[in-house]
Amino acid sequence: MDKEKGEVSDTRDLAVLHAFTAALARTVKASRIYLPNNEVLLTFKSELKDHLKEVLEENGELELDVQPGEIRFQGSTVYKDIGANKGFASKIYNDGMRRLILRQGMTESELDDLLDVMVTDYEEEVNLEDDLVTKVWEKDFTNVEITIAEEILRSTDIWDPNAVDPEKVASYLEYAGPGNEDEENAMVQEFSFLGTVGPSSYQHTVTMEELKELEAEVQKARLSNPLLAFNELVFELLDSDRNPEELRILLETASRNLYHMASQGLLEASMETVERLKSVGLLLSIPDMDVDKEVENILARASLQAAQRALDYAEQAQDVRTDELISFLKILDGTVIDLLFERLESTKRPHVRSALVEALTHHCGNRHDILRTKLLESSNPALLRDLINIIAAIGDSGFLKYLPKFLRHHEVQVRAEAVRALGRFKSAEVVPLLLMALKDPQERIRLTSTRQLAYSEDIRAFEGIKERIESQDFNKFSMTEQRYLFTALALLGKESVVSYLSRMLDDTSGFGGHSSPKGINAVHALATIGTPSALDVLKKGATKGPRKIKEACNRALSKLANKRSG
Amino acid sequence: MKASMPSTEKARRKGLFTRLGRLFINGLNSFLRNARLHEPNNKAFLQSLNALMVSIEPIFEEDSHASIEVNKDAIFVNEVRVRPDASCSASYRALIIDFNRRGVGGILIKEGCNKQNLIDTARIWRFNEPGEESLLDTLNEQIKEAGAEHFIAFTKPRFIADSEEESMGDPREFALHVYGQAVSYLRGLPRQIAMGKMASARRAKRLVQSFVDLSSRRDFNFTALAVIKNYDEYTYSHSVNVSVLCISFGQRLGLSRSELVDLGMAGLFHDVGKLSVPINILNKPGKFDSGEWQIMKNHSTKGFIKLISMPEFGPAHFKRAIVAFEHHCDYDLGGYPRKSNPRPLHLFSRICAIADTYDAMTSKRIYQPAFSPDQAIKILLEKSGKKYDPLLVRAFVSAMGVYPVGTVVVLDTGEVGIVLEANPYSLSMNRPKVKLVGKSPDDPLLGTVADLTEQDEKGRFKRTILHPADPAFFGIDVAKFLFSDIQTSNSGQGV
Repeated sequence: MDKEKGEVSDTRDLAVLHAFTAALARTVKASRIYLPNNEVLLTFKSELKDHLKEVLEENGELELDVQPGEIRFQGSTVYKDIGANKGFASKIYNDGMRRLILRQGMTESELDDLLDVMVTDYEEEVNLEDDLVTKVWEKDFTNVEITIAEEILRSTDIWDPNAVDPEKVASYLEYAGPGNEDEENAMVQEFSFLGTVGPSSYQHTVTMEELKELEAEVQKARLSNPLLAFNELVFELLDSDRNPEELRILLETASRNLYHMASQGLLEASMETVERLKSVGLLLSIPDMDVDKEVENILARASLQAAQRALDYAEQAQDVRTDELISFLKILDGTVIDLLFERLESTKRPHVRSALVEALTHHCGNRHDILRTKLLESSNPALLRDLINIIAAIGDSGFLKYLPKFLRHHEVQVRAEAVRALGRFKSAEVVPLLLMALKDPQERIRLTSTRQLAYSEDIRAFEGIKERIESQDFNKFSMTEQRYLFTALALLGKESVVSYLSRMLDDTSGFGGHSSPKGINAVHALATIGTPSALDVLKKGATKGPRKIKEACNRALSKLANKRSG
Repeated sequence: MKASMPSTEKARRKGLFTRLGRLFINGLNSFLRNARLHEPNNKAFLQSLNALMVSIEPIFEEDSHASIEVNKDAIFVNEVRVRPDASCSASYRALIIDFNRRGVGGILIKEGCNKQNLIDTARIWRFNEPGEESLLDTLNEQIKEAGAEHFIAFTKPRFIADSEEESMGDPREFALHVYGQAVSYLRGLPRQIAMGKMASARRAKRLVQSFVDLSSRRDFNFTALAVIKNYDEYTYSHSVNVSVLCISFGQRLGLSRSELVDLGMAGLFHDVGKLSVPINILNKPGKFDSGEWQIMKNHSTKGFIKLISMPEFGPAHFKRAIVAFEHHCDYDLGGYPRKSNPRPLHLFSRICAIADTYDAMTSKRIYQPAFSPDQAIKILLEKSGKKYDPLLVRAFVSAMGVYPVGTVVVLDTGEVGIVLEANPYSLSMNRPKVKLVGKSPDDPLLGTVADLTEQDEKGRFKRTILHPADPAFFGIDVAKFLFSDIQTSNSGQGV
């Protein structure tokens, strides 16, 4: 289906090209917004590859003209910007791109390189040393050809045609060789101990082993991150006497380093940088400069940016250690709290969520006001759960008054978190609330509440549990819940409930005896108590009671015996 | 839809053979290496044989032969120049060294070649190590004896024109132009900084990219550019020379194009801290007092701070700043500035320290005459292991040759010449290319280039170096002489 240049393209060809250029523009835009492994971006890239393959398979080569606001193929517009001077075509035109030729054989890495060339914002990019010319040179394309505007190539700002004065060039060629012969002789004398210079006087070749060593050196340099060595030198200078202007430059650079380290997920190095920045404020004293204040300001700004980048990285990467992320977020300045809450609402990654909760617990330790506001304002169940978790971890009883309303929350998980949180407050105030939760319609809430009450050592808890056991609904409870209640009763009542439980083993006690689940649960409760009197009851049950009780008592006794023997 | 450009087919072949060529280069290198190490029935050898067959097959779909030709520092596969990338750089270098050591230009494998032909070739390659005269003929005779002559041939070294290079014009003229631009850039830098303008490194990067292009040209000895010295603007021309030497050396170390640019930029900016040192101190003829010495020593940290106050920020920028800081730190962690927590120096700093010293020693300063290049090499070697990385010094010497470019030498013919191009091969390092200085302005030999590896019909070398010499003794202006037939693009005047 190859056609000669100049031949009018048919509708299908143009449609294919429309699809390709649209995919290219979409992918370039997405590349500016998303991190490299973002799913949306990866999908766009994959679609772009398919379009490119289709275009090149059919045509072998594609030559596109870039014009202000549009891209043309043989005179036909195949892409048009929607807004004037804002779209993809305008951007690459303003960067200096005039023609783009893609050839069959174009590899995936060449496509990535092409995207990199197009994505770079040459006007606003922090790294200003690249323009379209240097970037295209760097890529060294084989199957991509980019024609760059003459004015960019010959830009006087960059390339000064009159820079070289012919007279000057001539003067460069004036050899600066020996002028004063005496001086030179003296210098040569000084080094005369080195002997005759010549091919036989020293080893001048590199052996294969040394070549390998050199290759390893180069490889090592490639693998090492220059940012870390660079950061070391910044602090080397920060630790020495500097004038205020230099100090500001160094502090600013350290904060930029922090940002970049966080962007690369280098959390350990980031933490070290924050700590070292803090110590700069403490150690340095410079006349006419409040170093502490300077560092504080820098840290506040840097913390926010670094936290942002570290969290962006953690959202995408697989190699983030949660403990490192937690430690990093914790050592940052408190100005990051709002950001952390914002991210807590949006994150989908469990490890990021748990890191955020831990970090917020740390930062909100003395910022209860923020937590209270969030607790009152938030309606997002997931966020509420985390907030409850945070207030429980902080453990301030002032937060208790906010919890009852969450025991009535429509979301089960919020109620469950509230019950768990209550258990973490070592306060008598929580018992009535937990007893309230014992009547929750959801069994998992009741189970959590029972477990929390079991360790409360509060008589009200004992009474409440006992009441549940004696309630008419007891037989409707699941086996698990029944067991939980009896275990809680045993833990709370200890020796005092032995006779109460003993009666449950008696066939004629009126409690339902061996035919009811209570008998078996009572055996387990007695085993939990484990005191001599409880063992006596079990021994008695093992010999005289009904068959099922006997069996249960024997099992409990042998388990206890095993436990004791280790 | 296809645009029928005349270059289309050329571009297609370039793309295709670049891709296939890298596989072929890896395949052939692995095969020949295994042939040296193992017997033909060895598993590793047979695996590399299969890999080589697999790498050739797609080439036969395009052409009836697969050829590799080594030409100076470049490899051509089926006449297409293949640039090394990370996937094949080690094999690339190894093949160049191996073929050059044997004086063999390349190998031609024709369609129909079978595994046995290749096994025979491996055996022949294995038992004919370098050193023997007319090795190429021996190899091809043995190929014939093995009955593989219709499928395999070793070829003579030859010059293959590279279309990319042809389109660039006279490289020396271009190189001088770029050199001048670079000096002009550095000259303008303090003014821009003083005016509070952030000087962008964009222009510098373009210039250094041009240097890297020049360094890979086979028709131009890029290192010769560093012979240019400028007494009045020493700081600028020295910085450009260090950039040139760094690129040239980095290329020998197998750095990629973009790494060479980073290294060249680091060389260009290594002394940026000196821009704030008062001129009366920079040009002081006598010894510095302690205050002046302190100011001089501070240029490393001042340079670092100057660079970090520029708007660029990224890995290349970090490396530049590290080099500005570390280029006077010694390999044994002495030197200056002293670090409170000494760590091994960055590779680029170690390279730059060598290039910096070499150029400084070979330049005339107000406080010192210039050393000859071979004297400078000698001093570098003496201080290696303490001030300089010994391995890198040896590699630098190996790259520069025992008679570096610009060395004035006396030949056994009574002629005097200036070394134009070092001979990179270990057995012939004392046989560089020399530009002959005639005995008078009308001497027909004036300016002719003599390759000292040339032999007469009896196999004797036509010319041999007796000893290096002081250019002043002969009244030679080395740089002017090396670039004597260049005309500046602006004036059309000879320089």
